[in-house]
Amino acid sequence: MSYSMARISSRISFLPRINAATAAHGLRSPRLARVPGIQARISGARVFSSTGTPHHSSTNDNNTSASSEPHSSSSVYTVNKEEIAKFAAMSDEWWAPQGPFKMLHLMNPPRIRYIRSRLEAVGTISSTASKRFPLQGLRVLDVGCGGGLLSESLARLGAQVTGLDASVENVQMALIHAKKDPLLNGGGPGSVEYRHQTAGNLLRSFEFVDMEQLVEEGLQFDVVCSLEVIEHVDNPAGFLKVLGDLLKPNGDLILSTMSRTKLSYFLTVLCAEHLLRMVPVGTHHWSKFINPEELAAGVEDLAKCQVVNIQGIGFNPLSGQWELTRSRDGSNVDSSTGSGGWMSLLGSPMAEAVNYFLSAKKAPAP
Amino acid sequence: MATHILSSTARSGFGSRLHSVATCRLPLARSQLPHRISAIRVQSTTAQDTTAPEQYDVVIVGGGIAGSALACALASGKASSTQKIGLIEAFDLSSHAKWSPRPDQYSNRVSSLTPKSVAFLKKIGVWAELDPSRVAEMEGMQVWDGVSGARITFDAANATSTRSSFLHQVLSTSGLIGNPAADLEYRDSSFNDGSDIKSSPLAWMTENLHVQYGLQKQILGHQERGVKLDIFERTKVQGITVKQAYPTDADVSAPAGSTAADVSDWPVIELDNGKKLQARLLVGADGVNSPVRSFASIESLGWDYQQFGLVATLKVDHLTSTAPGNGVGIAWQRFLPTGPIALLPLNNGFASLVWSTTPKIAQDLKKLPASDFCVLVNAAFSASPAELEYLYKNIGPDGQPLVDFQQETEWRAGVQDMEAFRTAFGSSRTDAKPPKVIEVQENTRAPFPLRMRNSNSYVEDRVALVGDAAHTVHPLAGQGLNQGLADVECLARVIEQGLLSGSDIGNIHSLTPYSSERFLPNLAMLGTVDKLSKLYNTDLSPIVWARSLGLTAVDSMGPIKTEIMRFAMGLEDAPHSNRS
Amino acid sequence: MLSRTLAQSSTKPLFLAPRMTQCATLFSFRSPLQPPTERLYEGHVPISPFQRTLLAVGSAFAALHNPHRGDMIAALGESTGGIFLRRIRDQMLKDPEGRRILRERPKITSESMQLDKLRQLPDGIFGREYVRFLDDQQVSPDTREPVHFVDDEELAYVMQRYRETHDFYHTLTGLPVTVDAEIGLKWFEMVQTGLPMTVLSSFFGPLRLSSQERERLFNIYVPWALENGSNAKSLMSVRWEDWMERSVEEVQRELCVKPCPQV
Repeated sequence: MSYSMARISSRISFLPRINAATAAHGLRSPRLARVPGIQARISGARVFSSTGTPHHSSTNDNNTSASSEPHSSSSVYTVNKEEIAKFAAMSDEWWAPQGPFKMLHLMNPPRIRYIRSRLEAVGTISSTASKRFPLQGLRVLDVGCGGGLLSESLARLGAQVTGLDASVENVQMALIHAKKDPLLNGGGPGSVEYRHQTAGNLLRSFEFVDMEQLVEEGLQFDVVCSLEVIEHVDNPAGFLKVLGDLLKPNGDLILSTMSRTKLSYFLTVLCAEHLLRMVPVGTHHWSKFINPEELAAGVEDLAKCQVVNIQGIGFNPLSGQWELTRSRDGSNVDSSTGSGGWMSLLGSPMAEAVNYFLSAKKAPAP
Repeated sequence: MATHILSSTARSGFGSRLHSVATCRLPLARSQLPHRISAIRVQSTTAQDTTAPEQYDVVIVGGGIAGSALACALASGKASSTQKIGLIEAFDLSSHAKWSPRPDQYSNRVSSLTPKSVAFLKKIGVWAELDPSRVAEMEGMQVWDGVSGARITFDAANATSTRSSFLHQVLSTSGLIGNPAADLEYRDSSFNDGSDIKSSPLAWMTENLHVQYGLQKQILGHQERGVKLDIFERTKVQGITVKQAYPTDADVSAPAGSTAADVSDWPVIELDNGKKLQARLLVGADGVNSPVRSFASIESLGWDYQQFGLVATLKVDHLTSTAPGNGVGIAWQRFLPTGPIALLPLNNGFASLVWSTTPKIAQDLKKLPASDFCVLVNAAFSASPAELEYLYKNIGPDGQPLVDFQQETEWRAGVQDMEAFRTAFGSSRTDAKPPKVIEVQENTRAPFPLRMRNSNSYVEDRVALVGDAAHTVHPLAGQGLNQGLADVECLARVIEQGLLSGSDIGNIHSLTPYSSERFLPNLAMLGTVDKLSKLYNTDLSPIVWARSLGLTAVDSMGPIKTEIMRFAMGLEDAPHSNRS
Repeated sequence: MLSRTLAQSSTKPLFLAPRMTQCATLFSFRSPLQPPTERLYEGHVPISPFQRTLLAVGSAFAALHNPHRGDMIAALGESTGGIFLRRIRDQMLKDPEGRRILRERPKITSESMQLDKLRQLPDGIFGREYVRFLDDQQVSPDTREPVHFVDDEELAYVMQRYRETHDFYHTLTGLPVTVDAEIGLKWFEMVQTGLPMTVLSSFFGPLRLSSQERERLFNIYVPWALENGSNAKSLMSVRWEDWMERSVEEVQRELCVKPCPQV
């Protein structure tokens, strides 16, 4: 393991946002973040995450530090260690223009378009295309934020975003990058903070706290996004349940993942990874892909949310852009491609055969 | 702290910055820590100086038509109008708003605006500011080979009546080029009534100053509406610098919880009045020798044609033209072995000349007495290349003609007319003649060198190039300004969409769509124009024969001609430019 | 006569092209069976492109068969000369003297040249040597075949002028009128004008020579012709009428032509 504990803790000290943010349940003063008890809980989560760094073999037993941590029992260990290591290795290249995350960068604008249009459609935000900060006032949780692509964009649109990632490298990357824009640092209404915990751990750190108190302290969110994450998760059922718990009543859940179809195998594993090398080999585990019906059922049963929309997204090799396809209810939210968009020619079953979005709404408070 | 200065030594450029971010954890970077911290301190003390850079979202260097149009387009966008925009121009900008030309005088800098450009100018409110009496509609074009006489004619009906050509239909139904509805809308907005498509002009001719006037009017209007659009005129850019970014350690030294952003990778533009601007996005609209392009270490490839263009404002006698309607509103272009000569219609019997020729002839033409110049222009549209060669040779070192140009050309014209009259026997038509030039407006003859350039890339992180800074084209197709406006339209759209999707508009990822949309169409246009120029820059018989055969064939093939026109009019487009 | 029968056998046009450009004579969509022009000048015989092809091929064979058929050689030159005549005309236009010729269109006849006057000039003077050549060959400038088949009045004059000035070339170069020397002169003209007729003569003419003549042609005349043809001033732009009273040496010097080595 190339990163010693000392090294990691020294890093933590220069990640003020983590300190501030994870000072926990509303205690936002940096001073209080150094209260030993709180610090211990938080750093425990970090150590747990850092075991997934690239030089660490998941088959050996040296995640003892993680298992010695009282709050990270295997029952909530929802993110696969190998998966964390994989992305941490790539986090350096996260923001590189032609790097392995190029496709993800290209995907970001349609993602934002989808989220905006869904939030508008269900009335969470008013239809204000002209307003500079349409997401102002919303607390958004981005689970699996990676380098902070989506989180930053949402924050630029006015949201207060909490980004969550299982990899400390990703979170560091995201923090460094978020510093580079005045708009995210007091220049606008939006803000972004990052925590390198799994969604499960975020809850678990506070599990002794009354759920009602959590809500009071704002640790529930208006919008929870988790895009292209669930297919990397070992226990999707547990994951979905936690996502549901983190939503405020009447909150919106936005997910995206890939269908487990022959076409998706062909495109994502064979073409994108092996033939065209658009993304690194091993990025996708086809067997973990989830079909829209399965995901919808999971969201309804486990996250206790009502599914309102499923819509495909496809890469148009001619324009070099990701384009949203027609959704199941026939609406087309992707105004930028117009009705003539190439992808909209595909019928829904075909369109959702690879990548798709799902949006759901949690029931109002009883 | 490593500083990139605007000079040839700034080689490592932008690409390396990202890299240094990515490698910030390497021991090497770490070992430089003390040095960098001290540098940061220096930075923080200068930050308290009066010269602390002011942050802007977009800084545009160059207030020419492209730069001003970008400022206008951004100020009129829903999201982009919320941005803080700076426009830097070395010369005067505000005086453009007071432009009040005499009706009997025209500037020699004239451009033809394609329907696409006009649609864009309408969209950003500039077109409405223009004086219709100084905008001439180009209804037709006559282009012919000065060696063989092969000719191609275009009129507005060609371009629009068969606008759903086969190729276009195939492409649009497969969704490759926009959707037909958007295309139609485009057309409606670009033409006056939208009802009678066939009567719409091929292009609109107007003075560049006139467009500048409209742009400046709009800019003032936007400023009054409260758009944060700052103009720095009569101000030169002294240097553009960017600090090498080591963000992690900057974060170390920053107090915990500090909200100060680290914008060290934003370029700082230093003005000669001591002011400093720091830009999220720096746009180079600063011409062929773009300082912004050099700063971004973007290479620009191309060549100088061994040609000069000579412009002039002319008065013509329309009664002498044999074209329908006395040739009013017709653009004439004749390809001579020395380069093409074009007569472009203006209003009130005025016309604009663009004569591409050898550097020596261009200089001689400038010195020639006005009356002889007119004789020579008329000869250039009718006499044989051999005759012209004789006339060029007989311009003395002092610019005085050594022979009587009038007499010489009259004799040759007589022989040619007689010949044409007799050979026209049995033919159903004769070639239309352009109107005779009767006067050249004083002090409007100006030569300029002709070049072809294309930047290897139009974007870098936090930098975008538009117009001549990105590409320069031979003027023979009148596409330079139109390409620039297409760039501006695209960049403004990309910025607007970037803002709507919460992107950092200076980030290379946000700018890439601009580059990928404009690079190929510009390259195609550059290549086409360059090949045309080379094809016609010879009088070698087999080439003359082949090109004439091709031209005559194209002239009789409607659909192909339509495609060519649509290309030239900016109506045939890259896949996504119709979307907005 | 072949030309007459061809000219009379004009057929009805099969179709009329919708568009014709007057300048694009190299190609156009007009009928190949219809003469493109009306009668342009004295002696002009308008012929259709089809007839023109027939005439070119026919006259070429006839001239090959019998090199003394001057009318056939003339017809061959006229029917094939199109763009080359234009090029000669353009060369003349770029030259002040050439322009004057085109403008004034002087004709070389025994009358205009005042041959008797030339006979009075001293030996070694260009005019005197010219008359001597005519007298030796027992020819007159008036016996030249008129132009029939060039569809452009000015180019017809250029063709005419080309024929009329041929005798001056002999005086200038000192070439005799033997078959091999004539072919040598054709090589010289080919380099100067590029006229297809001169090219054909240059390449097919030698076929009929004896081996001794051929040797002389390729060892002496052709090298001389290639060198001097390209060095010399464009002889079509020479207004010979004005050079009569100068010495042959002076004319050769001015026009950059070295006399041909005497055999």
